[in-house]
Amino acid sequence: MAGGGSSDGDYGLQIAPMLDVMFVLLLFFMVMAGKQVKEAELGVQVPAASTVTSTAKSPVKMEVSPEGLVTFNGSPVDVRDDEQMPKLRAKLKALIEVSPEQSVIIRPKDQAPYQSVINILNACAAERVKNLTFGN
Amino acid sequence: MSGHGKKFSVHSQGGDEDPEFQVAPMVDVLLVLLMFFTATTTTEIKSQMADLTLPEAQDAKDREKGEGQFTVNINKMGGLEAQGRTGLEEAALSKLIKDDYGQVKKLNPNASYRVLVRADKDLGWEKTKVVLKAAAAAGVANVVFATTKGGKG
Repeated sequence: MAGGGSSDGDYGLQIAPMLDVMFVLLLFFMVMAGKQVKEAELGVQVPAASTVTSTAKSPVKMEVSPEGLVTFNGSPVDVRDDEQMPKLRAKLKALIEVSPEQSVIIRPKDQAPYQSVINILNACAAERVKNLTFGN
Repeated sequence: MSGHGKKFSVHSQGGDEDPEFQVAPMVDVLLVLLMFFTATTTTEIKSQMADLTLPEAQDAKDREKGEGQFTVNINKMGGLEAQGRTGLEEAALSKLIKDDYGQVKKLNPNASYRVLVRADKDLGWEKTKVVLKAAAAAGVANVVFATTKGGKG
């Protein structure tokens, strides 16, 4: 009886339910943050109107067929399923060791799979090809 | 050793103040964590588009924030989207890039500027070629392709 009188009419902030809600929110955002895919990038210099550059002596030409077959100066190297492009990488590595400034032109056909072009760019990035551009 | 323990137990028994669980600092920490995760999730989601899957590239660089960046999304259906406008053609896209590039250059003539292409991995090359042509026509030479590092299920 006496105990009830001391807290009569005292509506304090209820911490426990607030903590419950906060924990749920925190967990939700932590899971969402973990699920996010981190984006990376592969860069290339496009021959823009203002930056017309004369390409160096005999640039290497790489073509991508609609089936995803990659050719290196006319000779086929890797197919679509070779995501790491091992043969292309070996050729690029040998090329860059001899002349680090060697320019490379990628000429994908219109129907060439985008992933194959990205695989080539990836291989070029891994082998540190500096002069890389696209051609028709 | 035993004497110490005895003394301590006597002291703690005698004192009325039991060590309590401090709720207020815990709530502070929780709020900070909550704000952190809320902020990071929202900024990431803002820059992404739902209906495209980026290609995978293991050796790509981490994404960097340049001074000027023009993002072009190419969705699964091959539709070009930039600055909230969809179904763009080469000429319209080129004009958008040129205008944006001009604005950035006006603010800072030495600003680096690039076009970021976020295209679906299952597309053909032709749509990306349109973006490259538009960028070239607008005078932007620096084009980057968004990828994911992949490897996780």
